[in-house]
Amino acid sequence: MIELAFLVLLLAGGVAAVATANSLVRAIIGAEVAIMAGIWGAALSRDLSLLAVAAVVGVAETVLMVAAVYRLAKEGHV
Amino acid sequence: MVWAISAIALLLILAIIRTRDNVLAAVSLTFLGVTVAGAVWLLDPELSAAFILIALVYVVAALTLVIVAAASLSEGKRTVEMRPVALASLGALASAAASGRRAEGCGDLGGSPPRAALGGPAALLVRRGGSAVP
Repeated sequence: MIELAFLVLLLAGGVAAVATANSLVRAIIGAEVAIMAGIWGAALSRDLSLLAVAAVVGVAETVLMVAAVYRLAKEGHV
Repeated sequence: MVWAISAIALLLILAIIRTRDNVLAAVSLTFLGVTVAGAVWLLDPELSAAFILIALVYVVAALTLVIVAAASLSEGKRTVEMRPVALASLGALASAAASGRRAEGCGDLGGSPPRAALGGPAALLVRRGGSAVP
């Protein structure tokens, strides 16, 4: 039960960080917290392959978001 | 044991929300990643490869940190004070090294009783926190 509560805590924390963001970097940080909720949810299945997939997807998503911020920074949106 | 991890994660999330500095928020995110990786390791000791997860989270946080530093430098003309960020990163690196040593010891011994003797300071902190918070 506490595992599910931790999952909800991570999700709610990430969404709260995104909701209170005043810059795109802070929005990325909130999305990272939500990605950690996904990694924790994969860990709840106790399957190492699923855990690895979740971690790799999280890293790839981070790279994409950072690339988007780089693209937006040229136009002064950061 | 997960109660202590949840409390630490809640404090770190609040720190991320409350702080005004993007770089310090990224450092808090790094600590949160280490906390979640430790929670995964505590959930099931069979997942001793969670050290790989710690390394991946470090890659993610380091990327974010670099981007944040670059954005802060190009954002305004004011100077950027990086000393607390460097000290916090050193602390994160030390805790990651302790966790990795503990994970490697677990992999070598395969769950034998002297496994607890190989734990680093991070293991002591985790266990003390777990006994303090039922």
